[in-house]
Amino acid sequence: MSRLVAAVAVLAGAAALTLLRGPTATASLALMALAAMVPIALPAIGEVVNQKGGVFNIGLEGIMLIASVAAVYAAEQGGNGLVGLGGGLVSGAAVALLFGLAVTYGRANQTIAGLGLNFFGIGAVAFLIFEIWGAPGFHRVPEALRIQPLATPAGLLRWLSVAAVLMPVLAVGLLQHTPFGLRLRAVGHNALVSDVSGIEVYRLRLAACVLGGALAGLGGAYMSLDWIGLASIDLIAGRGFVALACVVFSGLNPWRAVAAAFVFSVFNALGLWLQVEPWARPLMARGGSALFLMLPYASVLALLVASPAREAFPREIGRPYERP
Amino acid sequence: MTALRRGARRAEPVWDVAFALAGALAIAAVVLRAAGYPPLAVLRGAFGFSLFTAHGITTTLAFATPLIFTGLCFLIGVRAGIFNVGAEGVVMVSAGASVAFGALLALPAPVHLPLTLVVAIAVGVLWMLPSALLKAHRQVHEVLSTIMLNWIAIFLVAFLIAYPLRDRDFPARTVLILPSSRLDPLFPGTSLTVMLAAGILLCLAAYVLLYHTPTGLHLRATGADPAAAHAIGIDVRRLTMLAFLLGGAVAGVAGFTLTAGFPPYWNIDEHMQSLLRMGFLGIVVSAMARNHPLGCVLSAIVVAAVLTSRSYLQLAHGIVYEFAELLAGIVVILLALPGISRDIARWRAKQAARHRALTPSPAGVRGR
Repeated sequence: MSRLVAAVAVLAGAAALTLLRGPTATASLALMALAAMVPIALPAIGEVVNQKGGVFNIGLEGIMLIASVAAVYAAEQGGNGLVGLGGGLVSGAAVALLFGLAVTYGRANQTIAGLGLNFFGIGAVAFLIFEIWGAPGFHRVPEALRIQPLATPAGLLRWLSVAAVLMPVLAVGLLQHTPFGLRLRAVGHNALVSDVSGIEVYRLRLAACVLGGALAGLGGAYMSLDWIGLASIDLIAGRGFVALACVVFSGLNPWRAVAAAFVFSVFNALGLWLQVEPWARPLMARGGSALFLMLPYASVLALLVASPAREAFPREIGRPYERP
Repeated sequence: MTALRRGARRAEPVWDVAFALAGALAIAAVVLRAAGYPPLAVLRGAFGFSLFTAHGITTTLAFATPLIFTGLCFLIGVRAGIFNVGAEGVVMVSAGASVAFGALLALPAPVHLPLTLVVAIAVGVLWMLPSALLKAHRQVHEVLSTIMLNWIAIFLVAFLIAYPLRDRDFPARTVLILPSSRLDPLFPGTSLTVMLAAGILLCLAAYVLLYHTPTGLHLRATGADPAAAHAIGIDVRRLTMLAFLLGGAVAGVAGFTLTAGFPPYWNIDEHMQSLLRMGFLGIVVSAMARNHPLGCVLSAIVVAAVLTSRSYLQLAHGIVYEFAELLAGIVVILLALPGISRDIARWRAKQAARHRALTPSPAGVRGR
């Protein structure tokens, strides 16, 4: 039902915009939204895999932050943007591995460890940016190392947008049609029974964490190397948490997670779009840009209200497993 | 023997915290070493500055004051089973409200100051209300709803600073709170105010509330097992709401403390440097106090010492401001690991057992 309402709202909005401003405007807004969607959709899909196994990783934001900086460093060392994306992926996976170790073998409280990871991310990134580039706060990525998007008449199409839209195919395939996916879901549903039937609970959860971290890392690398072209402590600006909200909204369905990420991104793009409207000018002169930036976060809040109840989630979510 | 064992069990949290702190300092030392700083000199200098110099210790206590409040905000939530990380946003909006009410309104001094505090608390409670309702009635994950409200609050206050509250003569900050609504420093030249005493008293009050009143018992029961609490007739929804709104109130006091109670500034600077992450650090304070109100003051002082050392680290060694967050993050992650000391004790017992098994027992004595 809520899916239908959302689809109708998006279509009606697109139709209204097309009527008022012409098809190019709609296409360019859609492209802006697709670009903004990547760093939410990719981590969200990774987090769906994570949560299927019963691990709620609230540290996504921290992982994305660290990966966004590691990616720029890797790109500069390798002299190539693609190397950088790989570096982001690997560093995201590595940080997630540490988190995974803490919440599996270490039996840590997932929420507290995740919140700690976010702190650590802020500190580590500020420290790294200063130690690597001697710059306090931010470092601009050299233009030659940035991933080149595809130029279309309505705007730029970023390659990873395409990847993000197609990623649910892979995620659903992994979760629903492989032995790994089946075992992972079993672990998320009942860790003790899985353990008894010979599944290595910790190892599986660790694998899911690493996979989720890799996707989050790719999302962070996309922000610094591709979309924004900046390494900075406030680059991610809550997108890790927005991704989590999308996951909660999705009820662990990767397609729904991507759809939710797209809705957030439309509002994100709309917030930037509205700022240059003529009627917004007096407001903009009075510091109004901050007010437009609230729009996407408010939309997530609305999304959360429409989220399914707890029953859609694995029983063991958030609980560390310990053999009785 | 049993008394000794009970005492040892009671001391367990202290060992956990000590272990986490030591571990975090060790990791920080490795990081510093790798980056080419002399770790021992840096760490000794940092804590020497923030704890053992007159300027340092008063600044530390001044930083500790709002942290006690944001720590209590998280703590009350955790005791009732919710991870309320909305203190950050509440600090923002109630600081904004304190400046608006304290600077734009001219009231006689005996009324102005308390009214500003009341406004800050009311705004804090209101800002927490959406998350509370969403959690109590729609089971919306509180971390997500509060984080979204945090961002909305940050942009709202950024707007207030950029235009409505901006000081036309000093564009880098908001207007100053009027003298009638300011708290004066306890000692001239410091930022220490009477709010520190208020914070300590509030910790005591939280302890009494949580451990010596029926409401506190119900709150803790809700946190321990909501289903069981519901089964014995506790109104879980009402108590969830209560935990959120109490948290909003104390975090509102933190916002007041960071503006009206923060001499010699009494304003919010352009980049919100004085406010940013004060709410989040409350999580560290509460985690390090092992979520016990009586531990909050001490753990707030430890976190504040790290914050105070930032300026020393930057000036003396050229280390970035955010190194404090790095340290805090490691502490929190280590604190999340359960019963480190318990595991160590178990490991040592196992070692001892193996040792006993390997050493030949005296002739004629077999085992125990």
